[in-house]
Amino acid sequence: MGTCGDIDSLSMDSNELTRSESEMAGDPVLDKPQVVRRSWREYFRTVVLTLLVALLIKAFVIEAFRIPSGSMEETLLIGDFLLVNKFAYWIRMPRYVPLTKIELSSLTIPLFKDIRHGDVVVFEFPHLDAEYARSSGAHYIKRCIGLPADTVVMFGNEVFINGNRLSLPPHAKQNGSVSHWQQNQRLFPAVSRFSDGRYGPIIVPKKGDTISLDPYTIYHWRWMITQEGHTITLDEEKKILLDGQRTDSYVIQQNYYFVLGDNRDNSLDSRYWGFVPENNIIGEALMVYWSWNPEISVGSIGEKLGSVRWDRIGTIIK
Amino acid sequence: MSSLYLHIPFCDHKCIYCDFYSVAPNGNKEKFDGLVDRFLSALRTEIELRHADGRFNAEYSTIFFGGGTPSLLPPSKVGEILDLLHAKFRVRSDAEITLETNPGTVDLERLREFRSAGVNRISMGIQSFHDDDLKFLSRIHTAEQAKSCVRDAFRAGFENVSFDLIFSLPSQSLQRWESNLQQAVALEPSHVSCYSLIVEPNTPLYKMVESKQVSPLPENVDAEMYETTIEFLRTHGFEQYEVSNFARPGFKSRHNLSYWNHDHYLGFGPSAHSFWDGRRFWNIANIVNYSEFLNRGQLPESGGEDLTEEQLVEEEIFLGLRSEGIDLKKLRRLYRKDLMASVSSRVNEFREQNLLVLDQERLRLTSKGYLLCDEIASTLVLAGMPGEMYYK
Repeated sequence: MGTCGDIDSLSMDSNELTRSESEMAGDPVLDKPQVVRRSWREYFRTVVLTLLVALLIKAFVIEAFRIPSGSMEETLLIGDFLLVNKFAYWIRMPRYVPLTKIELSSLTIPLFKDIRHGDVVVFEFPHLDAEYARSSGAHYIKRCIGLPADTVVMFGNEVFINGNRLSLPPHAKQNGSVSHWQQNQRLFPAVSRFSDGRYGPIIVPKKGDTISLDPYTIYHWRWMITQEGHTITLDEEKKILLDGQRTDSYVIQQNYYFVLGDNRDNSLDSRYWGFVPENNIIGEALMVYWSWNPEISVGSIGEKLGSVRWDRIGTIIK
Repeated sequence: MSSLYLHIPFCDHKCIYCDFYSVAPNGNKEKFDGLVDRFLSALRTEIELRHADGRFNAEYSTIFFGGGTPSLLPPSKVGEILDLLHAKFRVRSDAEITLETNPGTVDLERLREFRSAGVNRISMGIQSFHDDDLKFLSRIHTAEQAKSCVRDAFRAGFENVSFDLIFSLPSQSLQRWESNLQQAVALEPSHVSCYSLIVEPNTPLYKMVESKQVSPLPENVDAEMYETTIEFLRTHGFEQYEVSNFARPGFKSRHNLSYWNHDHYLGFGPSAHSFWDGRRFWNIANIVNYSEFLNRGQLPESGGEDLTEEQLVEEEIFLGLRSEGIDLKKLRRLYRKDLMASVSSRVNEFREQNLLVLDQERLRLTSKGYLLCDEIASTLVLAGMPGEMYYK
C-alpha cells in the first residue's frame, strides 16, 4: 500500500540520487467484470475511496522506500524495499497536498514515543550550501546517534555519547582501526579541526538552547540559523548581525539529530553535512518487505526472481 | 562580565615548586576526608553569605575551580556546588565552567561525571611530556598517564581542554622543551598555558636552589625558550592573548580575560581573592580557620584594600599590557586619563622598537614586546605618574 519512492542512504561511492517514478501498489482498478452489475457511480466511488485511503495511509502511516546505496550495510542492503512507520513519533501533516507540489502548513502532534539512540530513521535531506544542493529534499536513511543536547565524540572506531560508549549495531560494517588523524576539511563543521580518527566533541542543538555567537562560531551555526529562517551576517566592525540587529547569542528554535550510516567507513552522514532538523524526520524504518538484486534487469525476469533474498523479507530493522 | 572563583585547597601531595595554598593527606586519609567534608560545608555557607550580602547580584559569565587539585573532589560534590551557585547567583546559561584537573586523579568515568555536573572546560596540569621532568617537579603522574587523560577528556566530550606546561626547568634543553610543545599540539588542545618555572620562596625547590642542589637556567636560555614557545604555537594556529596564554580561535579563556580586563570577580575558599567596585579583598589562607569562621556564620575575610584611582590606572596598564592591550578609551572614560598625552614619547619609542603597537585604541605588546612586558609596563607607569604618588 502506498507509493514506493527511492530512498538514498548516501554512501561515499554512490552519491548519485535518483528518484524513480512513483507507482501505485495495490492498484485499485479492477481487471475483471463483476458478476453482480453495479452502476458506474459505484465503481467510481470505490476507486476514489480506495485511492483516498491509500493516500491517507501513505501520508500519515506507512510509506514504502527502496534502498539504492550501501551506506547502511549490512543492516540494509542495496535492493531492499522497506516500510517506514511515519506514525512512530508523531502525527504530522504531510508537507504537500498528496500527488501535488502544493505546500501545506506544518502541524505535528507528538505521540508517546520519542526518537531514541539507535533508531533507524528516514528523513528529508536538509537544505544546505552548494556542495549538497542536489541532495536537498531527497529522502535519506541513517541511524540516529545523537539526540538533542547530546555530545557526540568519535575516537578511532569508538563512538561516545556524553562520555558513554555506544556499541556498534549488530550488522554494521567497520574496517580495522581508523587512523587518519590529519584534519579533514570535508568534515562538518568546516571551521573545525576534526579528523576521521578524532571527530567532535560536538553538541547536538536542542530547541531553546542559547548559543553564544562570535565571528568564529557563526561559521559553525550559520546554516542552522539560516535554516530556521533568519539571516546572519557580520558588519564592518566584525559584529554579528541577526536579521540586521547586533547580537552575541541565538536561541535554537527546533531540535536536531546527529545521524550515521551503519557502513561507518563508507557513509556521507552528519559527520560531513551536519544535523538533521526534527521537522525533516519522516519516520522510523520498520521492516524489509522485499529484497532482490537491483543490478539484474527486470527484463531477465527469471534471473531477477532468482535473486530474491527470501531470508530478508520480513526482517525487522533494528 | 563578572566571574566566580572557587579555591579547592586539596592536593594528593604538594609539588616542590608550588606556593599555592593547599593541604595534602600525608598518610592520614580519614582525617583528610573529614577535612574535605568540613571545607565543603563551610564553602556552602560562604556562598550563601555572599548571596545574602546582595552587593554581588550581577550576571556571571565564568566559574573557575582552581586549587589545589579540584579534580580530587567527587564529581557529585562539584555538581552540588554548581547547583548552589546557579541557585544563588545569576550565572549565564553559556557560562564557561573550568575545572583544574591533574592527570592521575581522573579516568573517563569521573570526567564524564564532571561534565554532566556542568563543567565544560578542563585545565589540565600536564607540565611536561617527559617523565624525568615530571619526576623532578614531583608530579604524581607520568607522561603516558597525561596523554591518556587527554584522550579520556576528549572521549568524555570536553571540547575545551587547556594544557599547563612549564619550561625553564633546571637542566632542561631547548630540544626537550620543543618536544614538549610538539607532543602538546599533537593532542589537539584548544588552549595552552606555558609558564617559566619560578622559584618561589617557601617551597622545597627554593631550598634546593639555595643549597645549590639545582641551579636555575640562565636568563638567556629562558628567554630563548619563551621566544620558541611564542613562535611554535603561533605557527600551529594558537593566538597569544597574554604573556603565558595561547588559544585557538574561539577558545580564549573568558575567566582569564575577566581578570585581565579588570572585571569584577568573587572568590570563595581559603586564600581566594575578590575584586569588586575598586576594592580587593581576600580570605584567610588556612582551611581550619576558614571553616571555623564560617561555622560561626562569619565571612572568612582576612584583609582588603580600596584601590586608589592611581592604583587602578596602574593595574589597568599592567593587566592590559600582559593581555590584549591597554584600553585607552576605558582609561579616558573611567579615570579621565589620556595615556597617549602623558607618556607619548615613551610609547613612541617602544613603537619604533617594534615592542608596542597601537591598534584600534588599544596599546598592545608585540610578540617581541611580550618578552619585556614587565619592564615596559613599569616604564609607562613611572613615566605617567606624578612623583609624589609613590611616597603616599
